[in-house]
Amino acid sequence: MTSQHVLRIENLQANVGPKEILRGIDLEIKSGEVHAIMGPNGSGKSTLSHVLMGKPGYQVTGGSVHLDGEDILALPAWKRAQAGLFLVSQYPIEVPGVSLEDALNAAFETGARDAADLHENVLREANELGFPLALLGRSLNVDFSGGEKKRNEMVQLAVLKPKFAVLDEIDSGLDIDALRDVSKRVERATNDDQLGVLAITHYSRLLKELRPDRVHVLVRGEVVATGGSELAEQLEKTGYAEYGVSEDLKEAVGADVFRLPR
Amino acid sequence: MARHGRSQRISEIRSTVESLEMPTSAIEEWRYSSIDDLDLAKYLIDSDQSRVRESESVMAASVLEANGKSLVIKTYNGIIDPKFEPPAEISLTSLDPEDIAHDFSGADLFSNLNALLSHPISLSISSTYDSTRPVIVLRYLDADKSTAVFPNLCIKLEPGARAQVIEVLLSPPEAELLVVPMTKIFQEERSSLSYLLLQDLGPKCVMVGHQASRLMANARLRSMSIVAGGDYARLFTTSTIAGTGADSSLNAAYFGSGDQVLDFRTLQEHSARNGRSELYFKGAAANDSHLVYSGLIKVDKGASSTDAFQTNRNLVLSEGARADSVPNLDIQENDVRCSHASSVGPIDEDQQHYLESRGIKPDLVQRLIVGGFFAEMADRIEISGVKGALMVLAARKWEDLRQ
Repeated sequence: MTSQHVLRIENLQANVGPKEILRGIDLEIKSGEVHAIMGPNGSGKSTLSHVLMGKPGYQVTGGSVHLDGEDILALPAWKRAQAGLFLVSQYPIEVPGVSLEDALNAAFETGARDAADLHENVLREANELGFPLALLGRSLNVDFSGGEKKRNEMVQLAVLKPKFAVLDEIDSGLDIDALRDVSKRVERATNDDQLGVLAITHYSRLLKELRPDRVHVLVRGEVVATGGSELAEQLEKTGYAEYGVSEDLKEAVGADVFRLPR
Repeated sequence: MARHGRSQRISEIRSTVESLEMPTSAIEEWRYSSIDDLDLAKYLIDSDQSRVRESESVMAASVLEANGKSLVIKTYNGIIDPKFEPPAEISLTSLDPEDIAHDFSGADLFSNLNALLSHPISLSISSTYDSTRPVIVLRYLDADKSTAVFPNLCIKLEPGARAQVIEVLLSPPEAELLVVPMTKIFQEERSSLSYLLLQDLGPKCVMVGHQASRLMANARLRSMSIVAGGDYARLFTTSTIAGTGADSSLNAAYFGSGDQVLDFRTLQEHSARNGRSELYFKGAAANDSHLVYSGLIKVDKGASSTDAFQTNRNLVLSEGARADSVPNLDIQENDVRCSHASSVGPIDEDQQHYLESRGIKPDLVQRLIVGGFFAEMADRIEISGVKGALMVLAARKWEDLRQ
């Protein structure tokens, strides 16, 4: 059994330019747990994922993030990843001329990890996740469909075996079958490798597949409610109105956000 | 007849050379170049080819090894090995000059000097030649004193012929040469050529080179130039779509380091209907190096249904490095699809962050991205070993950058 790890976010505040986006977020995720963050557009969901991974352009103005007691906000992005944090990007970046295996090899080299089984692992995970093998030698994300990009991110996650994964709107661009494949692989990682998950989503359909232990509602940069999966169901019925989000905003976001698939 | 044609031409060239002045960077075609630093007077014309050493090149070796069953023609300071015996499907006799007398809009002092002083090698390749067997022209250049050398290669593909030709320019690190190469490609209808130029000259060389191609109906050219060496290296590339439906793909990959100046001028000329030309030049600049690109797409009146594209990408890797990119269009016909794109900049911040977020340390990320920038080019030509050569180039220049 893998040992227990903790990702602790305390009173996290962050700006993009002069604008305050995160206004004090507290979350604690342990190995094997699945946490979901839901919220309307502009609530700060994606900012949270970028701040956790140290994307340039996001300034932390207060609070802390610790992984097993280590202050990861003090680390550059590559060291956060080496410490065991992985971000499944909402918009994976195209990198011409660099293949998936080139990148994974370099990550293993950086971490002085044994890459002897890397090729075999990549093939197995690509097969399981339905990522076309023909794309393995091609440039990362270049001319990939939306679904192929997400499956590619998942192959990386499965091979790198981080302690915690932030899934930033992994459901966008995925059809329901792909969503099921991806969710199953995440679930297996939480069981087999005790992966801790922070799933950021717009759509409650993901949560039906992922079955989170905890659901957090993020509104205007703050967690305004936390509960079990019943919270997602309640949101489906009432929307964000009781958290002060107008029906207009609900319209703007799209009705799908608030409805679970039948 | 042919002999008469050649001697007549030489007298024309001689009078042309006398009338041409040394260019300066004040002329648009030589803007940004290092031409003002070139002292022609210091170079000897004559050299002893028996003392030319066969320089080693890891980059060239990766291409040579990948093309084991090739036909290798060695030349020493531009002069062919006298022992060489061509196979029956390749003729080495001089071509009729009219066949390959391209109109160089860029004809300058150097191309005329080459025409006057070179010993042209003319390869005439017939449709019976085994296209899976590349022809490699391995040019060893060397001299004790500052010397000018004039390699000249004419490649003619007969109707329906298919071939791969690789031309390699090599010199030892200490040789001080002015290298003035000229490569002329003449493709008859339906012929198909993959042409690779591999330039790995020593750091004290200056190169002022020309490559020109002329494609007749439905001919297809895939060309790639990999330029690594020289203190100042200039290559002027022209490709003329002279027959209906011809298709020309011009590519170049180059990586400057130290205080190299790598200078590329291009002309895609469409004078026939239904033609296609695609140009893709990519350069990286490390240390205090300087890249120059200036290109023109010219579509003549009557060359309808033309597709012509031009892309120049420059990766600037250090504070002291720079790149100038000047794309141009001159379109005299309405029914065309043309585009040009150019970019100059550092490594993309999003690519950098994306790979770092996978747990890759920053210098390894940069090496991956720069390697990828060149590796991507390998798919653009069907010649084995190109990716290996590009990776050798990237790795070597990366070492220069780290020093």
